[in-house]
This record gives sequence, structure tokens and C-alpha cells, in this order.
Amino acid sequence: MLFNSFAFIFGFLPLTFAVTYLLGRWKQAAAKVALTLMSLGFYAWWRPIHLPLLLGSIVFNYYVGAAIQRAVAAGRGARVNLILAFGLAVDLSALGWFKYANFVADNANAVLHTNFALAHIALPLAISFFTFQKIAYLVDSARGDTLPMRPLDFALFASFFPQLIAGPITHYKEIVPQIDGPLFGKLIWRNVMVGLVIFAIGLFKKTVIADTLSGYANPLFTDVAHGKALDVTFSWLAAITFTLQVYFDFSGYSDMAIGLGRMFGVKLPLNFHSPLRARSMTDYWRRWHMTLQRFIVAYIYQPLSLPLSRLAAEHDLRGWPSFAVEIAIPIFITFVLVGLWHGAGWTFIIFGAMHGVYLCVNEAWVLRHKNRHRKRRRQGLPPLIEKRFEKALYHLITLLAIGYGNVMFRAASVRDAVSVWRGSIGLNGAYDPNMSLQQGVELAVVILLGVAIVAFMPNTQQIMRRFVPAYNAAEWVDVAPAMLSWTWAPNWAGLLFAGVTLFLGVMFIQRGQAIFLYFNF
Amino acid sequence: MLQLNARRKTLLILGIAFLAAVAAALLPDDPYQRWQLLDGTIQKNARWIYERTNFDPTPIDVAVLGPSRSAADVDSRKLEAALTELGTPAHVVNFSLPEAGRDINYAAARELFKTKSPKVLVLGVTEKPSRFGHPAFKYVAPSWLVADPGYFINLNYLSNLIYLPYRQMELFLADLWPPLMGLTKTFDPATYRGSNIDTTGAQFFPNSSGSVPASHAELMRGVHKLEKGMRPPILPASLRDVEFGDERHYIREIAELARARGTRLVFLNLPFYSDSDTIQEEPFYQEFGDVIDAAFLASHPEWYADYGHLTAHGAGILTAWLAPTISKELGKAK
Repeated sequence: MLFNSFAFIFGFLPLTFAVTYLLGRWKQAAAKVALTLMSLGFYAWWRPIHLPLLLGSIVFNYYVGAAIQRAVAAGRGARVNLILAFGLAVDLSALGWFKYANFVADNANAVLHTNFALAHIALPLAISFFTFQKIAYLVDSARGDTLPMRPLDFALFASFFPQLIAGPITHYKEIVPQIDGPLFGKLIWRNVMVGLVIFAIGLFKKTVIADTLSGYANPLFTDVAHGKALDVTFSWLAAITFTLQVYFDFSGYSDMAIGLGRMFGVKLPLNFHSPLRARSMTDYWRRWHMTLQRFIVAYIYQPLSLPLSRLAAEHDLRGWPSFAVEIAIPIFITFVLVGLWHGAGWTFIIFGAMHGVYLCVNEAWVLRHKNRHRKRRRQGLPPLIEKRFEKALYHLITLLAIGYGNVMFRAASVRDAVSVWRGSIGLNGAYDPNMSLQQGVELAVVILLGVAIVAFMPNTQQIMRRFVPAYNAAEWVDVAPAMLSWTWAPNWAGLLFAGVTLFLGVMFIQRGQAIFLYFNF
Repeated sequence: MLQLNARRKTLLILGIAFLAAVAAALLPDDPYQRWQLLDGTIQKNARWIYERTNFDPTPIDVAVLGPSRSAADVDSRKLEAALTELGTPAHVVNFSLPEAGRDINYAAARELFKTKSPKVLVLGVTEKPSRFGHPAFKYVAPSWLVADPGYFINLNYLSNLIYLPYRQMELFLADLWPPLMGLTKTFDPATYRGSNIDTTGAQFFPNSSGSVPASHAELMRGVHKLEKGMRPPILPASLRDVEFGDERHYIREIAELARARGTRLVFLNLPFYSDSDTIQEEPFYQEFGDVIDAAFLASHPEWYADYGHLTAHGAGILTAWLAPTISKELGKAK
């Protein structure tokens, strides 16, 4: 079920709200049972055949997690590692089978000239998200960061519908204390009001902005897939409109998830913090899909980086060789895996590799700057201060890098992405005379509006800062302040804003319920 | 600052959203632009229906209204020629639109009777009417008709109603700046499709010529699918007006429009291939006009392009069979 559907907004949500809070008045456990069952129903609505997979994952990880916790409590480190390895192997095998088996078979056949046939395996909805959540849970358990809990609490933690389909990817410590707290299941209208406003903002981002942009981006990429070579104008339009679309789509979804979580008394972690205002790729990845980023840092990058750092130290590597081993290699491998996580296809792998290279270049640049600063300090010179022009240039370079990467992410094939890249540097012609003035004006308005919102407007958590809208909002609300500052308050202006935003968000569903881009992962 | 509690504020937000929806639904529109909303869909003839009734001074003597079967099966141009041959020359139009639901026929009938005085109105019917209204009704019907369809238990009511604010906002903007929405306010005779357009054969089946009969296996596949989806009446006969509200209410409304203009009403049943069912609503239809049953078609697989729609050749046969009846009705008309 999509958050941006009438079935969800006028059916599932009010029903779940009523059932949860009515039962919550009687018993907290009853509210949890209701919310868990409704969440499972929410998942099954899409493709009921995959519900057993989710249920199996919940049951399996609950028992493996409990076994790890017992081993941790008994101080049996080897046993902890063994059970953890078993749990991760099963989770990753399931993910690998459902998501990558066809891709591996196709590529093996292409390389080995074989005809190994594998029946088409349908990708279960949200498998990447719920598998990552379980992996995080098992690793957290092995690190002693979780406590034993009742099956019901785990089932709710693992299936809580606002975050089930496309994140945020949550950790035990963020969610379980909240659903185990005395207030869970009690109707607190402040939470409902705040959640509703956040949901409205997210819905507006999705249906009004992202879906409008998709109306421009999709035909352009479809044209490319049909062999059309886009000229320089349309190539850039494809890159810009898709970059804005994916941002508003996924950040809109994340807002809706956070808003819905809040309506049910759970503060979810942030997933976006104005990433297109970033001035470096490192900064961008700190603020784009934040819960995935922290997952890959904690569970992929660090485990790769630590032994490589030891290796560099053992071989007494210094300077750039040390940089290559300690930083560049783990970053590159991590981001190739991030690309692969997004989908089983070469476009995603290249997308990941591109971001790996971007980040390596970024880190190298930072290292070079640090060296220069050190040198100047030694020479007794004042530190270099970034000029406004330099800042703007960094921002522009970051946006260009993101745009080029997103073309690869969106294109149906590597060939299509290369065609758009070629177009963007004028190799397919400078101007398409078929573009009408009206099209030009419409596109300019849409892009300018999107860019203005990204550049000047506060993001959702900054708008809602008075109400601590998310689990980790306090860490972020003062980061990258917007040029125009506005904080939502429950006065007439605020209520009017929320009501009209909600109205427009719901009304624009009528244009057609476009799937969230991240539902594909 | 308002001193309200969060519960009241939440309800206020919902209330404001609701009021905004009501205000948007009340925005004025240009009906010509409304009938263009289905351009580029299988209901694309909607624009032509409006243009034919509102901008083309050619009279309409015989009009056909109904679902996809009457669009594919009745060749209005051949009917016009046949009526001339029979000595009752008449201007014929086929305003049928694909998919079932009588409400959209009523919306088209309102346009028809606003400007024309047809002598005969042929309403295409099938073995069982739909319990639902037409899915495209919400695009072309005036706001008041969407808001108040005039009968109890309209199964499409909520989905139609919720579309209204968005549609009116779109039409309002289109009225202010037509190119923005790609909806014109000015009738262009150069692009007008003419007084009588063909709705059969290749026109009905855009992905094929519409002239090749389907294989028996294909026909039976379609028939089985159709029969599987058919449900006999659930409620007792006394509650047919509730269960089949869309069909019965709008047939009455169309009959009322026809009566006011002195138009004769004829019901034409078009069977699917191998159909041997009785016409469920026949007694009801007979209250308003004669029912002509083209049951002879059902045993001729060679005339069907799919389970329920005739090839261009089949449409020619049906039209030739229909012409004498319509000619007689024209003779009876004042």
C-alpha cells in the first residue's frame, strides 16, 4: 500500500489509528498486537505471497538475536561471533537470492557462454530495508547494545509500518525504548498534530513536486531508452529534473514515515537534511539517506577500514599510499556495495563506483588542504580562508557530480546514461528546435521552484523544530540553516499552512499514484 | 497566538483541508475544456460529442448512446446511408463510449438535448447492467451532478467526489491560461472531426484493423472471463433501484429528457458471443420504449473481433439489420 493513496489515507490510516488507540485505552499490549497485525496487513496488501518471508525474517532474527544476547551475557565471545555469522549469512543469503540471483545468473551466462536457466525471482517488497534493519539488530546485539525483549515488541519493532517499506533503517536503541515506554498506545494529541503536519509536508513533496518533476524526467529517459539522442538542453533537463525528483520523492517519503511514526507515538530518525545544499560529497552523504549512510559506515566501512589501517601501520605506509589503503580502498568498496544495494544492475554498480571515486577525490582534497594548512602553520602564515567564490564553486562541483551520478542511477542501461552524458557536453547537438516556448517556460518554472525550495527553504525538521520532530532532530536542526527561516507554530498561519498543504498533497494524488522510487529497493 | 489544545488544532487542520477541498470544488469551469479532459484516452470521442452538440449546427435526428458494444457495433455512417435508402433520411451520430456505466450517457444526453432535438434515441444495453457508474463520468459531468447524482448508493460516489476539487482547480487554471493545461477554449473548425464519425472497426480497436474475427479459442477465453465476472442480482427485485441505481436512475433521467423533446426511445441489446442470457432489465426498459434484441449475432463467431465487440463487417451486418427498425421509429416520430 502506498502512503500516497486514498486506500491508505482514508482507509488504512484512520482504521489503524482508531484500533490502536481504542485498544491502547484498555491495554498497551493490545495496542501493540493491533499495530503489528495492521503493519503486517500493510505489507501483505502489496503482494501477500511475500508476507511469509517477512514473518520468517522476524521469527528467525528474534531467536538468533536472543541467542546472541544470551551468549553476550555469558561472556562467550566465540559463540557470539559464530551465531552472529550464522544469522548474517542467512539474512544476506535471503537478500542475495531474491535480489541478485537473476543478475548473477545472467552475467555468468554472458561471460561463460552458458545457458544456466533460473526461474524469474520476484523481488519481495522492501527486502533490502527490512534485511538491513535485522542485520543492524544482530550486530547491535553482538555488541551488547540490545536487551532481551518480548516477541511482541520485536515483531512490532521489525514490522512497524511507517518505516517498514523504505526506511528509515532503524536501530533497536531508537525504537524499542519508545514502544516499551509507558506512553506507547496512549493517545497524545500533540503527537498526532505534529505527525499530521510532517505527513502533510511529505505528501506535498511527493505528489505536488516529485510527481510533477517525474512528468518531465520520465519521458526524457524513455526517449533515450528508445534510442533518441538528447541535445544539451534536454540532457541537462533530464539530469536536473530527475535529481530534484528523487530528492523530493524520497525525502517526501521519509517525512511521511516520520510523521506517521509520530502519530503513533514513535519518533523515527531523520533520513534527509537538505543534502542538495551540501558543499562536498562527504557532506552530501552525511545528509542523504542518513540511516543507510550510518549503516554502511558502521557495518561495512569501519569493518573494512580497521584491518586495512592496521595493515598500513604494519607496513609503515605514509602519505598517499597510506591514504589509498586506509581510506580510498574501503570507501570505494563500500560505495560499490551501496550501489549494488540499490539494485542488481550495472547502472547501480557504476553509480556506486562513481560515488566511491567522488568521495575518494573529496577525501584527497581534504587531506591536501590539511597538509597545506599544516605547512602554512609551520611557516607562521595565517590559515587560508575560503572565499565566497570558492564555496559556490564547491557547491556547484558537488551538484554536478550528483547530477551525473543520478543519470547513471536513473537510466535504463549504461548505454543510455552515456548517451545523456554525451548530450550534456553538446556531443548530441546544442538545441532541439522541437521544444516549444510553453514547454520551456513550464520547465523553467518547475526547476526554479524546485531549486528555490532546496536552496532557500528550511527543511521539514527545521520547520518543525519546536516539536523535536524526529529521534535525532536536535543534532541536525541547526546544521545548514536555510536562507529563509520559518518555524511552524500552531497559530492561524501554521494551521492554514498545514491544512492547505495537506489538501494539496491529497488532491494531487489524483494525477496518478506514482510509486515511490525507493520502493524498488 | 490561539490558545487551543492539540486535539482541536489537529481537527482544525483537517477542517481547513476539507474546506479548501470544498472551495476548490466550487471553482467555475468551461464545459468545453471539461469534455477535453479525456483526450488521448480510449474515451477521446468525448470532445467530439461536445463539439458536435455545441458547435456543429447540423441537426441530429438519430443518436446512439451506450457502452463499448454500441460504439463498436453500430456504424452511424452506414445507418445514415441505409435510412436514406429506406426513404427516411436522417442525421445520425453514435455518442457511445467504451466501458460500462449509464451516468456518462446521461452527461452526453444532457449536451445533446440542450442544443438538438433528435427524433430517435437508441440506448445500447447488455444482458446485465453495471452496478457501478462509468469511470470517466467524473471527468465530464458538471460539478453539481458529481456532487448530487440524484440517487441512493452510488458506488462511485466517493471516488467521483474526491476527484472534483482537483479537476476544478485544473479547469480553473485552464480557463485562465488554456495552454498551461493544454485545453483550448476556442472551437477550431479545422481540427473538428465532422458531423458523423465512425466508431467501429479500426476506430474502436486502435491496435488492430478491427476487421479480423477472433479465433474461437480467443472468443471463448473472453466469454469465460466475462461470465466469471458476472454476478446475478444480490438484493431482492424490490431493491433493484438500489442495486442497479446507476442504470435505473439515469435511464429514467434520459427518458425524461427524451420525453420533454418528444424523442422516441429504443433499447438495443447487443449480446456477447454465444450469449444466451435474458436481458435482466428488459421489463424496466420496456416502461420507456421498445427493446430490440440483436440475439442473432451471438451464434456468429465470424462477426466478432473479440468476445463482445463486432468486427467492422459484423457492425455492417448489425447496422443493416437495425436500419428498418429505426426507419419505422423515425416514421412514428412527430
